Amino acid sequence: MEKRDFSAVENDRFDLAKKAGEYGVSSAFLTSDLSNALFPESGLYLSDRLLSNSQQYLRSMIGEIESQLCLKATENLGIVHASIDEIGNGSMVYCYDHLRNAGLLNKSELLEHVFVQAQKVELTNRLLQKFSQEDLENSLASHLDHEDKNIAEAAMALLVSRNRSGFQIGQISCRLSNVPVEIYHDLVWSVTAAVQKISGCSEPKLLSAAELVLAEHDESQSSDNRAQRLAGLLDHAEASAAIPHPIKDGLELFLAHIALRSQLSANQLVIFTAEPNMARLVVVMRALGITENDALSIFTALDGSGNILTPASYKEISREQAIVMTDNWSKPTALQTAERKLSSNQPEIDG
Amino acid sequence: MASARNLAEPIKGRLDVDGRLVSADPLLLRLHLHSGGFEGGPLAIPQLANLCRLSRKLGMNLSRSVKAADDDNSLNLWVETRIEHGSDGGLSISIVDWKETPLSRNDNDDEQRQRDFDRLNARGMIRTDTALRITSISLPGKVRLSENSIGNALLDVFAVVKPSKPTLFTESIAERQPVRNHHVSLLLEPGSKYILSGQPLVDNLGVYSGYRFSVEKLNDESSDSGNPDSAKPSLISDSLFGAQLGPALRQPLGKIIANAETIGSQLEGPLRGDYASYAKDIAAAGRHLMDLVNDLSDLEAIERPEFTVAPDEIDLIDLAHRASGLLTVKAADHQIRVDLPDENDEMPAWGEFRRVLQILVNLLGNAIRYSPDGSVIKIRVDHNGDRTEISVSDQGDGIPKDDQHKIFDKFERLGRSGDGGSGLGLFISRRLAKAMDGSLTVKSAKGKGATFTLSLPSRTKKGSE
Repeated sequence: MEKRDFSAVENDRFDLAKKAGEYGVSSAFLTSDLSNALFPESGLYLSDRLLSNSQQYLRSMIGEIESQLCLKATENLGIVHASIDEIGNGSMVYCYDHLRNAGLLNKSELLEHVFVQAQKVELTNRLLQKFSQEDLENSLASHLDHEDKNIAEAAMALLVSRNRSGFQIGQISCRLSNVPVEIYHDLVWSVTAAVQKISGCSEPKLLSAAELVLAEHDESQSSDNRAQRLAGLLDHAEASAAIPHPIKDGLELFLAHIALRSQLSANQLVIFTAEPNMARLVVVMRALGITENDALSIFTALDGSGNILTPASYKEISREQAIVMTDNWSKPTALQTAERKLSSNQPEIDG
Repeated sequence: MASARNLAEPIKGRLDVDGRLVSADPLLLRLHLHSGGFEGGPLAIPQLANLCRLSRKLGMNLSRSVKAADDDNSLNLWVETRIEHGSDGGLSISIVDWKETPLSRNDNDDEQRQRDFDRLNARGMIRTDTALRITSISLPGKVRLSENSIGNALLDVFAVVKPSKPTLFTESIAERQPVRNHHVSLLLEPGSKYILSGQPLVDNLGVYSGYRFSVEKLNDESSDSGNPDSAKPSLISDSLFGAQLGPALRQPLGKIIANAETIGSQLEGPLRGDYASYAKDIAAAGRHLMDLVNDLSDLEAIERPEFTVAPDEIDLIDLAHRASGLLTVKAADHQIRVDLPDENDEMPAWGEFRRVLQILVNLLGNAIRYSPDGSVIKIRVDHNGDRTEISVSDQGDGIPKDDQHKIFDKFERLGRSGDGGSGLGLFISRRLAKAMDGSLTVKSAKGKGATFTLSLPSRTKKGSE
């Protein structure tokens, strides 16, 4: 497939009157943008690199979906339409601005997924600064010889999936099979509507093309999914399962192991790594009974800000309290949100 | 122990457009049936059915971990769904991993169990907020107190009393430390004594949110045990078994017997025949253990040097009728008739009412146990000088002369076992009779039944004094 341009550069012809009209609408949101920038509520520091990666990932995701949709429409369903053909084979991202302006990208599940992907790139980059890609893959490759053929097969699947994802320093792109199905389902229909609008194509076959795109999405190809399966098999096969480590297991398998043992989701754990001092991840490690040496090593491997976790501060955390806290974080998100909002001691935080 | 089925081939199944399981490999079919489904019916495995519904709703193939339960195992499955396009709208299921783990109790069960044990042991529970104000309280037998205490500070309801130190208690609370075994008293009931233990709580933000206390009533025997002046004759020993193990065992045993009898009697619904029979076995074993616990408590009590009984004015005929009434069902089970003296007569004597009744129940219980079905047990009363006697005669096999002195020994069963006896009843009865200035003797011959006679000091009838 032709290399596509996911950059944020505007490709429309410069039309001052059109722009003036658009800014007339958009500037009404100036204060809310400034408010969010000046008074962030999450306590997480969103670096320029992370914001840039997030936007790049989102554009990449929209670009891949619109391309797949239009190629299916033209090649599989025989739609003949110049704009559909251009979108399918073009190098630009066509629907992004339309979707953004319509507020269709401003959804918490989608944005959380985007943030998690950007943070995973950040974490992978941190690991690659300390260890080589080859070192990171060696441990995973050792499972290929596992006597349990299901484990060997799952390890191979993860290795293949990880190589396909092909994270490289400074680059981020979306592999659609890694997009959770619920988000993907929503986006495919949003993109279909945008393509209809942009192209003026109202053929029902475009909707059939969207159904085909959805039907061909295979959740089992996702790296997270494969890591989750491998972690489950390994934990089950080895009663005294070894302590997970991002260097030894690779990021996905490490997250899947910790997620499985703590009953948290891998996404939650990634968000924990973006929080100041990775405090919640440290608490989770304490709850799981990870020794201070292992915890310090994991912390150092994942940290990118020169923070230090000392044995004393780690051991100072009460294990019982850590278990209770971890257990609370593993409750359904809707319940946690409701509890937070109902708590009279806490300020109301939206989202 | 966890186990995994190494699936050479994935386990397959297929749902039609309405979600009915139209074909399935044997393992999947078995799980479906065990989950309450039927052949050709809607898929009955909850999480798997949800996954299939989501797959169909989105029109997408899914690949996820699914949890299920089968008998005593928790199942972790890795399931892939495939939408079948172009056919009848079916959905195929492929289970690629199948792992079984014995079901374990979750924390909620443990909490529930803890609450059950708290109730069984007559323990209460108190929850407080961060300012140690009571937010919920449950004290056995103190409903009104529970209602009136909520919102009050814990230390406005309870006072820390000796031997515990109030400062130590408040310091522990201030430092958010667990508190254990502090003696407290209800301010509204100055004589009352409780043991208070508690754990600090944290909320889902990791912030201290108060305490959860368990409250255990301190009974009079144990609370007074350190004070010799307050020592008074007690039938139940304040030593290890009588005061501590005995009650701790009786309460759960009572619960086991009650539940087993409820199950066995099928009061809450029909049950497979052999299960009902097992429940009756459990109840019988529970009753046997309960008897043993009672006997051991008594044994411990009567072997103490300071053991005494309180002489009451008793009527042996009245007691004979009461003992017989307690064992009516047991006698009826064996078609045994108990022949009693005329209820309108009186046979006054001196003895402790409860202990004499205990001896008579023991003698009558033994007589029923060792009498042939359909026989008659006679209870007779008589005067013998300054003594009043009551005898229980059965038509059993009798006791050989050589064994007659042995049956009053501790744990002597004369080689019998499995009949529900502990071998302590007659030993305890004779010791009790002696403590009441009386005696317990036996007359018997092999094959001619046995007659046990309890002799107590006579008392003149009221009105004839």
